[in-house]
Formats: sequence, C-alpha cells, structure tokens
Amino acid sequence: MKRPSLSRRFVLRGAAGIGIGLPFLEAMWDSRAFAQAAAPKRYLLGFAGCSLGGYDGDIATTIVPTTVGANFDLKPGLANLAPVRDHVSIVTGLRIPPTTNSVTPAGGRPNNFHGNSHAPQLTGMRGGNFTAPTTEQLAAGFLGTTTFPALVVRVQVASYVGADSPGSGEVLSYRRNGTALQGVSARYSPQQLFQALFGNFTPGGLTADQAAQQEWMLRNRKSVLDGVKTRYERLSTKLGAADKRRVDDHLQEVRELEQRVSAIPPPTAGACQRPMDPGADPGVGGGQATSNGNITYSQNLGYSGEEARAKSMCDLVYMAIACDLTRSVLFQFTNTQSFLNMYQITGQRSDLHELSHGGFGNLNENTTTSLGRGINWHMKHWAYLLGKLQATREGATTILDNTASAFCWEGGHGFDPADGRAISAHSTENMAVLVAGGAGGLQKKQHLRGNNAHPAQVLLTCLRAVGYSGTTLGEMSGEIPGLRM
Amino acid sequence: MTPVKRLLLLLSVTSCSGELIGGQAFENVLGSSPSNTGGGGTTSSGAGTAAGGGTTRVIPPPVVPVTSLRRLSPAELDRTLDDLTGDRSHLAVTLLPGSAYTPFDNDVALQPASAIWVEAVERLADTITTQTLADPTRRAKVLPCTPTGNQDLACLDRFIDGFGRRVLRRPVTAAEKTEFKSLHTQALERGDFLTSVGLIMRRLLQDPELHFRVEQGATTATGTISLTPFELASRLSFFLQGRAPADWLLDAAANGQLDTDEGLRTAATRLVSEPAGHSRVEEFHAMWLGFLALPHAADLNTRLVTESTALVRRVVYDDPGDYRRLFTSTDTYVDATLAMHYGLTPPSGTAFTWVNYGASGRKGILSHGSLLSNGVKQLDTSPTLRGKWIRNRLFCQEVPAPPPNVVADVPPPQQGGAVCKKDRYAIHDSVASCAACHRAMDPLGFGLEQYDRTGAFRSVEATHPECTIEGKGELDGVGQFTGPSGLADVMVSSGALEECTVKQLFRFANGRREREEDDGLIATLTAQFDAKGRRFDALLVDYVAHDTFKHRRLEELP
Repeated sequence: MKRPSLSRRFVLRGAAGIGIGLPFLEAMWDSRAFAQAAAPKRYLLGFAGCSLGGYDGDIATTIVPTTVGANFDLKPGLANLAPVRDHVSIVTGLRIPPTTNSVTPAGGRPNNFHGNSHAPQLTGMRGGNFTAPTTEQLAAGFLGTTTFPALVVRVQVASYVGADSPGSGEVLSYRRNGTALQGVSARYSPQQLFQALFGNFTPGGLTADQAAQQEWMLRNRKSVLDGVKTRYERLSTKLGAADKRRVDDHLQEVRELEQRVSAIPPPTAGACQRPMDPGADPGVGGGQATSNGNITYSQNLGYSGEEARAKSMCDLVYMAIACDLTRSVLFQFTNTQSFLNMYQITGQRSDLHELSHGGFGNLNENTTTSLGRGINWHMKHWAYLLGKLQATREGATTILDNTASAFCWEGGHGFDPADGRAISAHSTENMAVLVAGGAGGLQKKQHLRGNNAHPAQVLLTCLRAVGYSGTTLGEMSGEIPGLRM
Repeated sequence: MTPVKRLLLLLSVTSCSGELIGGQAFENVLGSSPSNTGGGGTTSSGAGTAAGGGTTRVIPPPVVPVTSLRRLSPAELDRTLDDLTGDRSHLAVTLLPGSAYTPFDNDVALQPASAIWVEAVERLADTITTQTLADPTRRAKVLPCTPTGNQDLACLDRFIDGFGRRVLRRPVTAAEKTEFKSLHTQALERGDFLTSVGLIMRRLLQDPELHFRVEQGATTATGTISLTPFELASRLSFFLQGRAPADWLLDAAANGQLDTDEGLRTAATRLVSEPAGHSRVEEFHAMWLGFLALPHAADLNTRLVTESTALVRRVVYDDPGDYRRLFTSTDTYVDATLAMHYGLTPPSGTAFTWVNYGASGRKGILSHGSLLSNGVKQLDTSPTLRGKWIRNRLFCQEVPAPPPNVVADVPPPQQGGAVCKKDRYAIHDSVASCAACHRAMDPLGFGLEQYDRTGAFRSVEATHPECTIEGKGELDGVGQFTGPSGLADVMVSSGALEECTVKQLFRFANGRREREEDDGLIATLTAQFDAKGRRFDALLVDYVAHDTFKHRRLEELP
C-alpha cells in the first residue's frame, strides 16, 4: 500500500477531523472538544524464537496451567508474568497442521520444522515461505496514521551462526508493496531506534533564535535527503528491470525516511517524554555455531548484551506507543532457531536452541525444564513492557486497556512429523499464545484450551479486537471462543 | 575419465530421499555439470572437449557473466570511507545491517532494502562528516584549500570536484554542481564555509553511486553492457582491493590507459601487489577457508589466524609459485605455544617462525586448527560435516540436504552396542539411501578424525578412551589416506583444486554462485592458471584481463 506523502502543511491544516496525521495525545483526549473521541487502539505482537518444550519432559510442568478457565496458575516458565497476571490470558493446545502424503492443508506447514512454522503462524497461510502480509503490517493499515505505521524490532542482534553480521536472521514482517510482498527488516539497534523515534524531539522553551536554528538544521537535513532521493529516482530510470526493482526498493525507503523526518514530533506532555539516550549499543558478540548451523557453543560468543538490549527496547517501544508514534508493533526477542548464548542471561552454559535439544548445559534436568528457564527470561521483559502500558492512563482507561497484545512462540511441543518422535521441540502441536490487553472485549486471567485451533486464530481475534474488519487471517477463520466478549 | 573426475562434474542437486535406489553411485548423487575438470586440456578460446570415462563434453566458449547491481559490503564501505575521510572506526560494519557469509560477505541476494539501512547510511554520513571536519588532518584530506571567505566559490569547486569524483567514482556533473551550490546557499543562511562543506559531504556520502556499483556503460548491439573506463576502474579496485578506486586509477581511466590490454594488466598488477591487494587476498582466503571468525579462546583464535594468514602470504606473494603449496607445504608458521598445541617441537623464544612438520603427519593448510575448526557438532568433530565442508569449499560440490525424516541436529547416538564414533556413524553406511550421500562425506571426515576441533592431535576419543581413532579416510576414486597430509596428497592428485579455486574467485567477484553458462569462462581461466605455473597472483591479473571482465549482462526477472 502506498502511503500518502504527508507534507507539513497538510498535517497542520488537517483534513476532515483534526486528528488525522497528528499524534493522539492525552491532553487532546481530555480536551473538551474531543471528549467523545475514543483513545486509539494498539496492536502489540511479541515473538520468541524457541518452542515450548524439548526432547523430554512435559510442558504441563513448565507452561500449561493446571487450571482451565479463570484465575489460572503460572507455571515456572511463565512465573515472571506475576506482576501483570491480572491482565493476561493464555490459549494453549493450539496446532499448526503438518503435511501428509505431500499435501499441506490450509494454514499448514512443511514437515521440516526449522523456518517453516513462521508464515503459517504469522499470516495464517500454508507453506514455509511468506506469501501474505503479517498481522502488525495489516494492523498498520487500519489503526490510523502514525509516523511509524508499524514498528518492527528485535532484541537478538545476529543469528550467531559462524562468522556473523549484526542484523542477520530471519525476516518475520512482511508488507504489501504494490503487487509485491516486501520483507521488513527488524530494528535491532537500541541507539538507532532511539534516534529514529526521538531524534527530532525539540525541547521546549526555546528562544526565537534557537527555534530558528532548529528549523534551519531540519531544513538542511531534508534538503540533503531530498537530493539523495532525486538521485535514486534518476538512477532508477536508467536501469534494467531487475536492477531497477532493487533501486526502487531503496528509493521507497528513502521517501519514507523523508516522511518520518518531516513529521512533527509529538509535544512532550503527560506520559510522552523524550526518553534517556540509551547510549552506545552493547558490543556485538561473535557467532558461536559454525556456518553450517552446527552447534559448538562457546561461553564467550553469541551474546551482545541482550539483557540490557531487551530492557532498552522495551523502554523505547513503550515510549513510542505512549507518544503515539506507532500503534502497531512486532517485538521479536530472539531469532528463530535462536543460538543466543544463555550463560549471562540465565546461567545456563548453552544457547537457547540447545536448551531444548539437550546438547549441553542442562544442569541435570530435562530439556523442557531447561527451556522453561529461557522462556521465563522472555516473560520477564514482556511483563515489564505490559506493566508500563498498564500503568499509563489515558482518560479513564490505560494504554493496555486499549491494546490487543499477543505473544507467540516459534513452536509447541509433542509429535514431530518429520522423524516420528512423540516428544520433540520440532513440533507445532500443543502451541500456546499469550494474550494481554482489554481492547474489544478481550478477556483477562483466562486459560482457554484451543482444542487444536490454529494460533493464527488467536492473532485474528486480537486484530478484530482492535477494529479489523476482515473475518479471516490468511486461510484461517474463526475467533477463539471465549477470548473476546 | 576416472571416477573422481566424473564425481567432479557437478552440480544439480538431487535429493537423498528415502526413495533412492540402494547402491546408487554417489557420483550421480553429486550430480553432473558440463564443466571440464582441472588439469588443463581445454583450449583457451572457443569450444573445447573433454574426453574420458565414456563421456565427451563440449566446453562452451566463455560468455559474459550476468552481474546484478550490488551494494558495497560494509567492509568495503569502511575501507572506502577510510580512503575518503581517514575514518578508521569501522562505522559501516558497526551501523549497517550485515548479511550472512555465504561464505563471502558480498552475496547480492542478501542485500535487501530496509528502513534500517537508509537510516544507518544517513547516520554514517552525519557521523563521519562531523568527525572529519573537526580533525584538521582529516579535513585536509577532503578540503584541499583554505577558503578566503564564506563565498570562496573557487575553493568550493575544488572540494566538490576532488571529493565528489572520489565518492562517485566519476567526474561530478554540472547538474550535481548546481544542486550542491544551492546547498551552499542554504548553509550560509546561518553557517559558514565549513557548514556548506559538511552539507555537501552528507549529501555525497548517501549518494546511491557511492553505495551501489552502478555499471551502465554503453550497451552494445548484443545487449551486453560494455563498462565505461570509470566503471572498469571500480570493478578492478573492488575485486582486487575491496575498496573504491584510488586517484591514480581514476586518472588512468580518464586517460584511456585501461583501454589497452597492456594498460589494464599494468593497473591490475599494481593493485595486486599493493598492501591493500595483499590484504584482499588474505580476506578472500579467510572467508573461503572459514577462518574469518574462529570460536575458540581469543588467544588461540589469534594464533591460528596468524598461522594460516602467513601461509597464504608466503604462497601467494612472499614466495610466489605453485598455489598448491597452500595444501602441500611442509612448514608452518607458529610460536612455541601453538607448536606445542600441535605436538611439534617448539621453536626457541616467543616469536612466530617457520617450523617443519617433520614426520608429524601434517602438511599444508588442511593441518591448521583454523580449517579444522569447521565441521563440528556439539563440541566434537563430525566426520560428516567435515566431509561436507571439504566437498563444499575445496571441491565446490554441493551435497543434498538430508531428507525431512532425518534429525540431523544431533550426532548418531549410541545404539545397538555401538559406542565408538566409527561404529555409531556406521549407520550412515548401512542404510542404502543414507549411504548414497554419506559416502561423499564421511570417508573424508574420518580421515581427519585424529585432529580435534582445534587441530590438536588425539589417538583416542576424549569421552571414550577405549575407542582408538584410526584416522583412516578415502577420497573415492583416488585413494585412501590418513590425516591432513594424506588428504592433501589425494586432493592434489585428483586435479580438482585448480578449478574450485577459480570457481570460488568467480563467486567472490560476482556475488553469486556460478551457473552452467559460466562454465566456459571458468574452464578458460583454469587452463590459464595451470599454464602459468598455478601462480595465484597471475590468476588474479588474468581474471581481470579477460575480455568478459569489461562487460556485464543484465539479470533477468524471474
């Protein structure tokens, strides 16, 4: 979808309804003129690059609550959700169907686990490759115009496979670009994200001369970007079709950067404040596994300060929402098939992938229990972010009240159709999705059994809770009964 | 044709599915390709034939390779920015998203556009500009004159012409100068001459013609693009030095010196023999042979890289000669610590020096802990993965992926009384559909089993000392071997090394794998390599002097 070019004049004048293009502000909401206006809705999707269980053990001991229904118990793998337990629900027993006799059913996946569960879960389409937009990109299309239509962030810096590069790892966000489907790379640098979100926040109380200086510097920045954009446009006209497509993709990104630079930053008021500069990113640790994806595990590799990065990302995403810079977020903590070194995170001498596979570092416990510790680390940060959204009022409600949030895992636990094992991490049986927020009648404190519903149905429920008019997500239809009133 | 030569006709990947017929020769599994084998025998122009083993193949004439519009890799950009502005902080590698190493860092299929890329480029331009103009020495690199005042347009022109030409790798156009002049006017609203220089620098450092290797040339009648001299200068410089062309090379382009074969070879020879050319050769080998980033303790990693880099340097330019000495060298460059790690008699003192392998069973780079770090599974060597690595990297052969019903995450477990590794891995051989592929890998890996993942020697398994390691392997169709010395011998006698070396260079030069249509060029270059005593530096010059290097064909949309 081509986004309209917002000129400053358009934004200032506004069109039908002054709210268009301007960030929603608590001050405005409280203003008498907009007393009837509703707070905007938000969609927040979290993702962990691991399954729920390993090659032995039972996720009933680590994840799946014993209680079905209201006020469910938190097992050790989800224990860190305690501070926000009044605001979360969980749907367990979900399933992405495998391929049988070379036939992949609707929403199903190839039987080779790695890399093939993401598209069905995040788009509701069958197959291992992405063929449709993902939910946070869909949500960006109807939640209202913000400077960042969808914010895609990732905590884990690199795939940690061999000689590695920051930014490497699977793309999990896809948007429509004309007739094409375009991958959206995740933002993995807290410093860069801080600059992108808040770099143009102007402090208040400027003298006339200081304001003129700021205006001139911004104009300089825009003139430079405009010249760069024009160069891309001219270059595009000279190229063969395949090269042109490559340049046009870059041109579009330059245009969108121009729009973001041109957007008026929200005035700092209420919850919206320029956050502290997170400083230089923690150093990037090298890859530990060899380039064939084989596991070597070195205690000193595969870690780039993800503990501090997770906190920074949560703070930045929170403030981006609080300042209404975005209303739709994909927050990926760990890469798919994550080789993130767990030693400095949980003390386990292993990586997240190996915790479920039992290669090493399992502290003499079964793989499901080991993995549960890794899962609980994700929950610590997720609870922190949800807690901040819950603590932020907008009118008579909180941001979390106006949000639909889901948290997914790459896999479930149980049967592996590829090798026939009954208990495996390479499984999309017994999957779970954590739900939070109160938008659209979403229920809280409920443990619902999915009865082999598809995880995309949970995402569909969340999308509809924030105003999605569609009744299907990809090939999947039907909300989860009882999740929403 | 010997079985191994049939083996080396690669590539089309088939699947080792459960439906494979038992006993299928693994030559068929590794596929076939019309490319000739190494060892000479083809003519250097036109079609040639290779005979043997009942198969006669026609070698196609070299065709101009398809090349896509590529971005500079972050490493190339860093070196370029150092040349342009004196920045040594590796900002591009730090700020820009990188791509996976396949095993090179310039795979054109892994360079997607993204918001984070354009933002990082803007930040890069801003940071480098600010730092460069604040440092008088660095400022002098970009600004060759002292302005007499804010309106010293002559000085501004000198800056634009000089810096602009270096950044864009071609002369600045009149239209661009007009655009920059308007930036200058805007800068002077509240700033001074340096503000204007800063704006123009930020503008230039984000220009697509800096970040992309634009090769539009003048399209010839056949639809093949002939590169302009400036585009050729860029191509030479990026291939041979991994950075943008220096002033002398841009001048040579402007003066028509690259239009003749002699002029081109002179420029190429200079690029190859400069320190930046040497570094590039080392970087190529480190990526190709898997020692760019090693996973051991830091001091061991450093020693291993020193050792392997020294051998590359010696073979390629310190003592240039037959390139196969990289694999057959009887000396290695170690210090006392590394020597003892290998079980060699340590030299006296603490410095690195060349030590003879003697009767240790080691020979060449296959004996180095750097290469031997590859092919590991769960903290121990995997003969399968080591064999696969050798097939992929040193024979340029692909091995099909395991079928979906095989869990390859873990090594073969102890079962049915099999405890020792050789017995555990025997399951690969006992099931016919597995053996079809595993016979291409396991025998190679087992020949190196006496060398652990750091290259140290062992005669028994660490976790099962009752299991003796024989370290016997086989290169099918050539012979059995023991250890890296034996493997080096069978590899050299297979005649496969030369062509695979050329193929890896092709991949490095083009940012993609070769296709069937590229076989003619690869065969021609391989023949030249053999004919010139297998000197790697000569190969590099011949590579760029070949007529195809001055052209490109466009990628077609699927």
